Amino acid sequence: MFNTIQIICASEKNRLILRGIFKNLGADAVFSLDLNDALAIFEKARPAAIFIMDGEEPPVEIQLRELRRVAPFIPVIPLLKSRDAGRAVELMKAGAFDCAQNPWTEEALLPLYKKALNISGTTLELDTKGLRSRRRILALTLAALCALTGFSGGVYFGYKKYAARPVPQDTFALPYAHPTGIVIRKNSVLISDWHSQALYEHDAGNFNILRVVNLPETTPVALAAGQDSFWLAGTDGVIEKRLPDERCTRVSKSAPLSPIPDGACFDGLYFWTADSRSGQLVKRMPGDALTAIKTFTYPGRKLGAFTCDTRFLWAADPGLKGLVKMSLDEPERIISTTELPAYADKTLKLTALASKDGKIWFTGDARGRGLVFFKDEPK
Amino acid sequence: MNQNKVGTFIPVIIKTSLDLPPLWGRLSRLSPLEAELASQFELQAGRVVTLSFELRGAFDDIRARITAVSKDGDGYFNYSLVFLDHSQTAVLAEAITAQS
Repeated sequence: MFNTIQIICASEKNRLILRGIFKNLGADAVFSLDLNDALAIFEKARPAAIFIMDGEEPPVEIQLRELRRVAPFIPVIPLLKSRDAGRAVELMKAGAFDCAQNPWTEEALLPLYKKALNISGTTLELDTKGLRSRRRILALTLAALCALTGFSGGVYFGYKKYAARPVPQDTFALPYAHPTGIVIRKNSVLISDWHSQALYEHDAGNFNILRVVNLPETTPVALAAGQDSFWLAGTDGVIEKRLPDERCTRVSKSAPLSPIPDGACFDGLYFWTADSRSGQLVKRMPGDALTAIKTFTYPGRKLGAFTCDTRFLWAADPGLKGLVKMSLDEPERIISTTELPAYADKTLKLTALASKDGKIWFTGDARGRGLVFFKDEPK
Repeated sequence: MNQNKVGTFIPVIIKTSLDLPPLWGRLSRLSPLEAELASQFELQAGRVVTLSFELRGAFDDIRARITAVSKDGDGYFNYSLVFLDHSQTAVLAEAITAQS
C-alpha cells in the first residue's frame, strides 16, 4: 500500500511525538515546517494524505484551501489540540476529511490513517454503461460457453457411458462350408476347404478373401503352421510342406501316414498328427518323412479338432463341449477343459484349431455354413 | 464510507451526554426517520444521542437512538440510527424534500 503521508507541523515536540506514532503505524511520514515547505516538496513526496497541526500559522482553514487547490481530492486531517467537535465539524465543512483529537495516540490515529489511505484518490466517476453492457454481454457469452461446454461434456460422458460400443468382431462367416485347416499368419488367415479343394487367404481384420489357391490334386483335411512354411495334409494320408508364396509351392511331401491324420501341428520342435476317428495323437520328427516317435491316446471324450503351440496341445472336444489343454510332455493328461459356448449350437462341427499370440482360433461349420471365430486362450 | 462520496457526507456533531464533550462524524445516509452515521468514535448500541448538522439550515440536537453498530476494516464505526422526536423528523423531512 502507498503509505507516504505528509505532516505539516512546526513544533519540534509535536513532530517528535507524531514521528514515533506514524512510524509505529507503518507510515512513511514526511514532515514540513509550514505550508510553503509542504507545497515545495508536495510534488516529490506525493503523499496519500496530509495531516496538519491545528493552532499554527497559517490557520488550518487557509492551509486546507491551499492544499485543496493543489490536490482537491487528497484527504487532509487536522490534528486538533483538544476535543472540539464544533471546530472539527467546521474544518470538515471547509474540506477536511476528518479531525484527530488530542491526545494523539496510535489507537486514535490508526482509523484515520487507514481510512485516509483507503479513500485517497480522485472522485472521477466514469460513465460505465457501455462497459457494464459489454461486461454483461461478456458474462452472458461466458455463461453460454460454460453451459455449452457442460452440455457437450454431459453428452460426451453419456455417450461414452451409455452408447452401445461397437463390439470387436470375433466371429466371421465363411463363403465356403467345409473348412478343414487353419493357419494364422501375420496379417492374414489361411483356411483350407476340402469340398472346393482350395486354400483361402483372408484379411485378418475383416476376413475378406485376399486370394484363393486351388489344389486340384489334393483334398486338404488339415493345415499346420511352420516357421517359414506350412504343412497341408490330404485325404490320402500324405502331408505336403508348402511355401506361403503366390502358388503355395510344394517343397516336400511325406509318404502316406497311418493312421490317416485329420489334424496336424508343429510345436516348434516336433510335428504332431491327430486322427479323430481313432483318437490317436502321434508325435513325429519334423523332417520330410515325418517319422513317428510315439503314439498317444487322446485323453478326452471325442477328438474334434487339434492343434498345438510351443507350450501345449489343444483339442476341441464335442463330447466335453469344451477346449481341452494338454501337456506337450504328457499328452495323455488333461491340464484343463474350458467350456466352449459355441457348442450350444448342436449343428456346430469344429474341424480345425490354431493357436497364435494368446488366442485360439476355431473353424468349422454350423447349419451348413462355414465359420471361424477366436477366443482368448484359457488361463 | 464510500471513497468517492466522503466529501459529500454531512459533518455532524454527536452529543452523548451533557457532561461529556461532544464527538463528531459524518452522516452517510439520511431519511426523515433513519440515518446512518460514520465516526471514529465508539458508541454503544441502544444509546440515545443528539445530532447537530446543517442541511439547508441548521438542525440542532436531533434525538436519535443507535440501533446497530458495525466496525469497518479501517476501524471506523458505522451506526444505524432512528430518530425519536416526530416534531424534529417532520422538519427534517421537509429539508430533505427541498434538498432533493
